[in-house]
Amino acid sequence: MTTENNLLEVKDLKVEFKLRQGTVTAVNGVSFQLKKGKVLGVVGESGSGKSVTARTLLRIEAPGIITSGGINFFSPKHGELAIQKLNTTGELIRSIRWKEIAMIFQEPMTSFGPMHTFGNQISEVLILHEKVNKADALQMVVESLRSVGMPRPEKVINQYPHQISGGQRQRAMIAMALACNPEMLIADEPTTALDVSTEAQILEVLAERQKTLNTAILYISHNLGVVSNIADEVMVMYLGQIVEHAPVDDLFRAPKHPYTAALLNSIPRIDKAYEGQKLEVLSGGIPDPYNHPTGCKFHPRCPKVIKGVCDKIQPLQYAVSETWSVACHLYSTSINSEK
Amino acid sequence: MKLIKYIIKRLLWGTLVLLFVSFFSFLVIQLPPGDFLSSYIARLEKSGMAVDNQSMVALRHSYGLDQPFIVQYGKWFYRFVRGDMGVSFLYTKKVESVIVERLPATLLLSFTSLLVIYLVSIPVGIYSARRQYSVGDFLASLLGFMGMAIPGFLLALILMWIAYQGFGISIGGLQSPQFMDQPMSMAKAIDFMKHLPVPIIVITVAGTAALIRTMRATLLDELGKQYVTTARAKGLKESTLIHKYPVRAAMNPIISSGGWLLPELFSGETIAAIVLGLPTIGPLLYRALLGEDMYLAAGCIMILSILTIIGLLISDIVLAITDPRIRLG
Amino acid sequence: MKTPTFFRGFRKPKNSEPNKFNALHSASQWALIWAKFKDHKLAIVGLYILVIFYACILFSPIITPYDAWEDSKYIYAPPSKIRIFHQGKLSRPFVYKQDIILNTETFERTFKPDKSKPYPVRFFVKGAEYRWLGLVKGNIHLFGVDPQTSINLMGTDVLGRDCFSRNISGLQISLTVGLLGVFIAFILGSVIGGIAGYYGGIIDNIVQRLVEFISCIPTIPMWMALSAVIPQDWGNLKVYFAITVILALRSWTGLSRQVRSKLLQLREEEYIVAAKVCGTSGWKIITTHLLPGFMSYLIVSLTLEIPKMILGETTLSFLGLGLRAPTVSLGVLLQDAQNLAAISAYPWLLISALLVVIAVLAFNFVGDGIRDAADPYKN
Repeated sequence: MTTENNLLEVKDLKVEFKLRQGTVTAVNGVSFQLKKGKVLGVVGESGSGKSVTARTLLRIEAPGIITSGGINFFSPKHGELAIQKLNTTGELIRSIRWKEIAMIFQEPMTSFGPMHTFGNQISEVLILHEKVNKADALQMVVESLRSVGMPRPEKVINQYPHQISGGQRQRAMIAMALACNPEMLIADEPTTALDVSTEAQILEVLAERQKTLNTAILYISHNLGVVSNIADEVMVMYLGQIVEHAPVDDLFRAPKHPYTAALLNSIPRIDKAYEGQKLEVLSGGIPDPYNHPTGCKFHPRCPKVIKGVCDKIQPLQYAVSETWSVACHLYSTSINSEK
Repeated sequence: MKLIKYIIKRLLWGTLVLLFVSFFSFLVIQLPPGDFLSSYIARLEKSGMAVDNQSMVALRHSYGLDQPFIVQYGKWFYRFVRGDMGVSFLYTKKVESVIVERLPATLLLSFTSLLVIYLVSIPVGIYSARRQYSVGDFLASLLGFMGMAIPGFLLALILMWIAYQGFGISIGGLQSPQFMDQPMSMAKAIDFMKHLPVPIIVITVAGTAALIRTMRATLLDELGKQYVTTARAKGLKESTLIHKYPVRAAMNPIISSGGWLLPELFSGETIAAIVLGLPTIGPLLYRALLGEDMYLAAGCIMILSILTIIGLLISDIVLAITDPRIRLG
Repeated sequence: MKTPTFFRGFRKPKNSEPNKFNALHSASQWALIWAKFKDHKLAIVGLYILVIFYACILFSPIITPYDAWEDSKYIYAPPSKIRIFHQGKLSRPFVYKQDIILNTETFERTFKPDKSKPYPVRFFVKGAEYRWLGLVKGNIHLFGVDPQTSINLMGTDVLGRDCFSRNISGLQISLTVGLLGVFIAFILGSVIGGIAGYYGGIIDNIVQRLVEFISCIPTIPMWMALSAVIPQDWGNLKVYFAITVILALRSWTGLSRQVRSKLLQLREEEYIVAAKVCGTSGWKIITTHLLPGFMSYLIVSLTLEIPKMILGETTLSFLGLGLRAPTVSLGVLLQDAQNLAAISAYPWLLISALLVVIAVLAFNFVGDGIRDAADPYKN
C-alpha cells in the first residue's frame, strides 16, 4: 500500500485497561491507514475494541493506557504528529481535537450537556478553534445546522437537548462535528440508537457532507449493511485485532476470514438465490475479556479450525492482494504448501 | 408561561403542607393526658392561687375546651392565621410576641449556617470527585463520616469546652453578659462574632457532611456521562469543561437538597441552641414541651415548619429557573 | 464489557424446578455482593465492631461484673488501673484497693491506691444474680475481683454504680432501639411505598404528598413534640416502644420513597410486563419478582437508617424527652454529662458518647460497604 495521501497511520497499537479483576487488552496490535477524503469502515461485535481504537486517536481513551504502538497524524497545521506521545490534557492535542479530528458519538440522548442550548454548545467549538466572536459563531451555527437539513435552525440554537428528537439531535451532532471543517471525522456508531428510517436520513446527510467537504471518515459500526453504504474500505475487528481489511466491494463479494464470512451469512437476505435457506448463526459467544483464547482468538468458534495450528499459533496478517489482508492460517502460504 | 404555572402550583402545594402541619401542631396540643388547662390550674394552685370552680368553667369556655376537637382546631387555626397564637403560660405573654423576640437570632443563625454549608460542601465535593481516592478525598470522607456520627449535643459540649479552655470565651449564648442590654457598638459586634463559630459549626457539621457526599456522588455520576467525553473531544480545557458541564448538572441535586437540608438544619439548630443556650426558637420549644406550655409549643412547631416550607419553595423555584428541563417542560 | 441484553433479561420458565433455580440465582447474587463487600476494609472493620457490640448485648449480664443499678461507696471513682507489677515483680493482672480520702475543708473526695495488697482479676467469679435473656438464672460473671474492693473499667457514677456495667446495659437498649425502629420503619415504608409504587395513580399521589408533608417538619422538633406526649406514668417497656415508634414515624418516609421509585422503575421492565401478561397475581409479582429486584437497595437504606435512630434516641434521652431512668440507655447515661463541670471533673462519663459514635460509625461503614457492593454497575 502506498503511504502517499495518508492522513493517519496507526501502527501496532495496543491499549490496555488495568482493572481490579485483571488487565483487559481492548486493542491488541492494530495497524491501519486512513487516506485523505476516504471512508474507512470498522466492523465488529461489541467488545471488539473498535470504539476504544477510535477514542485513542483523540487521546480520550482514559482509563485505558497505550502500552505500545504509534499513531501518526499528518496535520495540515502542525505537520506529522506522533499522537501517542502527546499529553492527554496538553495544548497540542486540544488544538487537534475537533479542529482537525472531530467525533460523532453513539448516544444522541446524552452526547450534549443537558443544561446548555445547542447554540451555546455548538458555537463553543467555533469560538475555541476559529477565534470568532459569539454573534458570528451563532450565525455560523445556524448555517451549519441548515447544511445538515435541520428544520428551523434559528429556533434550534435556543433549544435544549431534551426538547428535540434523537434524530434531530444527531443532526445537530453532525453539524457540530463539521462546524470547524475537520480533516477527519470519527463516527462511532452514529446511527445505532436511531430507528431505521432516521438512520437512513442521517447516513445520507453524512455521506453528502463528506463528499462536499472531502472529509476523511473512520466509520464504526456493528452493522455491515450500514458500512457497505458509506465506506470505501472495511476492516473487521475481533477481540481487539483486525482479522480482515479489504476494499468494501471485495469483502462483500468474497469474504476471506471465516469470521467475516459468518458475519455476512448472519444478515438475512431476500434475494431469490437464498430462498428456503436457513440463516446461519455463529456458534458461541464472545470469550471472557480477561482470558482470551490462545493462538487465533477466533478458533473456538471457527468452523474451519485447524487443530494443532489455530489454537497454538497466532496468525499474522497475510496479504491476499495489494489492498487486501487477512489474519487467518488458511491464507498462510506455508501451511497451504504443506497440505 | 410554564414557569409561572409551576410556581403557582408550588405555592398551592406549600399552603396545603401548611394546613397539614398546623393540624399536626394542634394535635400535639391536644394529645397530652388531661388537657393543658388542668396542668395550668394545678400549677396555679401550687403557687398558692385559689381557682374556684366558676372561673375554671369560664377558662375552659374561653379556650373553647368544651367544644369538639375539629371546632377547636378550626378556631385555633383561624386565630393563628390572623397572628394570634394564644397565651404562653410559662412566659405569661402572648405566644407571638415570645416567638418574634427570638425570630431574628433564629433567622440569622439559620441563614449563616446554610451559607456555610454550601460554601464548604460544594468546593470540597468537587475536589473529592475530581481527585477520587486521593488523600484529600479520603480526609473529606473521614470528616464526613465523623460529622454524621457525632451527635450534635456532644459536639456542642466538646466545642464549648474547647472554646472555654482554649480561648476563654464565655459559655453559651450569642453575646457576653456585659453586652446584654448595651446598644450596638464595635465591641459588641466583635463579641458577637466571637460567639458565632461554635454554634455555626455544631449546626452545619451534619448537613455539610451529607451535602459533600451528595455533591461527590452526583459529580462522579455526571463525570462518567457521554457529554463530558464530547466536551473533552471538542478540545476544551479540562477545568473549563468540568465547570461548564458536569458541575453545572450536579448543582441540581444541590439546589433541590433544600428539601432535606432545611429540616435537618432546624433540627441541628434546635439541639445546638438548647445545649449552648442560644436565644432562638429551638430552646423555646424545648422549654414549652417540658413545661407543657402547649400553645407555645404549637406556635414554635408552626413557625419552624413555616420557615422550612418557605425555604423549600425558594429552592423549588430556583431549581425551576436554573434547570431548562423543568422550566421548559 | 456488556453481556448481550437477552442474556440479562433471560429467565428460565417457571415450571422447571423453580425453587432450585431461584436458590442458585440468589445465592450467586449474594455471593457476588459478599466478595465485593470484603474488599471494603472500613466496612469489614465496621462489621467486626457490630458483631462485638451485639455479642456484648447478648451476653451482657455475664460480661458485666456488677448489676447496672447497684450502688456502692465508690462515688465518681475513676476507671480502675489494671496492673501487672506488684512491688517490682511481675504478677498476674490485679487491682489495688482504693482508699477514699475526704478532704474535710473542700469536701472533695480523692482516691488513693492501697499498694500493700494486690487483688487479682479473677475470671468466672460468682457475683450478683441475674436472669440471662430473662430465662436462665445465673450468678457467674466473666471477670471480677474479691468483694473487698471493686473493678470499674470505666469508672463509676454519682451513686457509685459501675459505668462499664451501665454502658453495656445501655448498649443493649440503644442498639436495639435502632433495630426495632428500623423494623417498624421497614414494614411501614415497604408496605406504603410498595402500594404507591405498584399501583401508581391517585394512591401514589396521596402517599407522595403525605411523605412530603411529614418531611417538612424538622425532625428533632417533631420527635421532641411527640415524645413530650408520652404520659409520665407509663412503664419502662411502654416508653421504650413508644420512643421506637416515634423514631420510626419519621424514618419510613425515606424508605417508602426509595421503594416507590425503584418499583416504578422496575414495573416498566419487560420481565414484569411479561409476568403480568401471563396473568400472575399482583401480590405474587411483588413478592417473587419485584422484592428480589430491590432487596439490596432496601438493605442499604435500612443499614444507614439504624445509626440515625440511635442518634435520635440518644439525643432525645439526653434532653430528658426520651427514655427515662431507671431505664439505662447511652443517652440516659449521658444526662449525667450535661455540663462542663461534670465533663472536666469526671471525663469517663463521656465513654457512653464514644460508644454511640463508634456504633454509628460502624453502621455507616457497613452501609457504605453494602451500597458499593450491591451496585452491579460499578467496577
